[in-house]
Amino acid sequence: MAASRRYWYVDTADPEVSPRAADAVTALYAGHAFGLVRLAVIMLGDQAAAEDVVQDAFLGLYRRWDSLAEGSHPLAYVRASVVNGCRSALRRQSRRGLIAAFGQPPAESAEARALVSEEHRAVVAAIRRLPSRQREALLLRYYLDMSEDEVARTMGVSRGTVKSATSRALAAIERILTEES
Amino acid sequence: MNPVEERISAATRAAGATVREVRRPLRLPSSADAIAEPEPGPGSGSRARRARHWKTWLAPATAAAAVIALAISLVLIRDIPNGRVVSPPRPAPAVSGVPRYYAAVIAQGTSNELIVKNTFTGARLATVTPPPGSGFGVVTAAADDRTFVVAASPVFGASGVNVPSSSWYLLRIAPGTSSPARLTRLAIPELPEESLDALALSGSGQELAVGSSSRLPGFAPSARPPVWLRIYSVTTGKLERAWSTRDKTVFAAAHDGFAATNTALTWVDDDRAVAFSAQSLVIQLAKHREVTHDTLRLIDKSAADGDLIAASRVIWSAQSVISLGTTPDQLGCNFGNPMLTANGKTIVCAVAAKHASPPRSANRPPGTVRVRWTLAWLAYSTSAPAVARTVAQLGVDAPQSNSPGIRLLWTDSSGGTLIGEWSGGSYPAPNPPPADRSRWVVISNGEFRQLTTVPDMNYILSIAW
Repeated sequence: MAASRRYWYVDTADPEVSPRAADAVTALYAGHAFGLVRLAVIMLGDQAAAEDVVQDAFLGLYRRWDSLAEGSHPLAYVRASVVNGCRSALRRQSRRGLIAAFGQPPAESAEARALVSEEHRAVVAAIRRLPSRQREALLLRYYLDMSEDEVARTMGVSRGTVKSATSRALAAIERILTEES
Repeated sequence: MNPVEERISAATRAAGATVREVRRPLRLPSSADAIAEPEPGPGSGSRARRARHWKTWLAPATAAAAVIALAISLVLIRDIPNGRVVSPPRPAPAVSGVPRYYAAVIAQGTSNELIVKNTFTGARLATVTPPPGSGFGVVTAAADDRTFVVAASPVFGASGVNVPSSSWYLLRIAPGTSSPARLTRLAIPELPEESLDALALSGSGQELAVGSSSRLPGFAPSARPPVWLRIYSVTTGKLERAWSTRDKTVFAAAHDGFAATNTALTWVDDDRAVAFSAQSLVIQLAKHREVTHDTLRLIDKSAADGDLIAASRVIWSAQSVISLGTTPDQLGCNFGNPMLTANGKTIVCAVAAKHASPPRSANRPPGTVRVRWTLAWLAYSTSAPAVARTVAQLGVDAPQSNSPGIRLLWTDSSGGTLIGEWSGGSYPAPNPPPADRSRWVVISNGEFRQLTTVPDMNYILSIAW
């Protein structure tokens, strides 16, 4: 048997600590900005734009810190803000003609192009061709591994809407990939 | 998940993995009043004027986030006069005895590149592209933190699959100089008609141990393919020793798909002997659930050429199992190859024990059920090989459909300090990261230290310190 067995669990917390808003938002940023930027990059295809969106989302949380309702979930709030922000950014890009053609891939770094296989790029390109609601449902469900209920809460829609959006998105992806193969 | 869902999951994770860092710090103005209106979040209407009681609930959650952030050493939080700044990840402090540099072969289209990085800062020292028409396969390191040998093979087709016929290259690094990395072809002959299984550079960097076999596509399944262990001089390329066997258990666990390994062979006892692994299946309980018999054998470098089994001796063996409710020290070495340390006294390896699944519940949608696993790095003494000592262990909750991963990446000469990798666990709610995110930890004296920069292991084919 072990002579000196040690355990390490990640889920440690000190419930006595009561940070100020800036501390709390900063801590949330420290712990979650990376994952949220990744999510936004998948949606937008551009890291600078993704970081803009994430930055705005955390600013939004900070600004509304004192007015958020009891029971609100700060991370859920930020995540939903990121989804909303990506939707708006895509709308703005579209209006400015940055995504001029249907399915045209957004800017990606050379490193990103090199690291993501053709297969993965084709799938991501197909996802970016979806209507915004379908794209969001798909990413929240299969990238963030959320349940349908969580996706519904994040998108601010019903679970039924999530189910139908996801179902349509999957069918569309399959069709696009089949057509292009 | 159906195939389309799996493709989406894999593709989005690959796309997300291209983000290596958040480049921009969070800048909060000193006064909330000065902030421009950001993108509206949910519930920003009437609920905005409701009570502030939630903050009392929020405090533990944010504190937890802060503790986690500090605990995993991801970021540095500090104040500057004109606002709050979260800096980019801070380099982890170096750990005495842990090599400062590693070399890794990364998947890169049809030809795999070799990168050299600082273990603690993640800074890339060099990127080495393979000779035209070839791709790097497996890399191995000497003990000087400066010398590596990498195998290269011709590539064909879009799959980037390396075919046999490995050739050999020496990589020497010189950090801080104008020529930080130099790759030179070695005179060691190619391995035609053989599949490279395992590779190990001696601690001195003077000799290369090569494990190979005739496990080629189309090889008659009824035949017992010969397996070879050869030792070459790195300096001259001369074959110094060659042993072979038709014992199919030798290097049986070395191959993972098309990738050879640098953990199934280790140099010990001041480069006077080589340990190699063998594995046989005892019983297949179910898909991905089996009992195997793992063995480490030791062969003295001075042993005459000939039969590998006859010239070597067993120094450790165990049955490795994946079984519900089993404690880690009863599992043998069920994740990856057991490795003998360079002093020849300790076998270290990684194990994972799955706890019983929670009962099915109609309220829990598929994909949300999580199962508790215990991951551990174990050590066995060659003087008492039946007794496992737990070097370190951790508990993780993994999705029921996705088992966590654990690996031993490197050990020092005594087994006192390890570098391990684990993935598939979750941070506490509310935001578990993607289940396949990997973490590297330096384990020394039973303490964990998480390395700040972890390459995406999905793209790493081989890594050596």
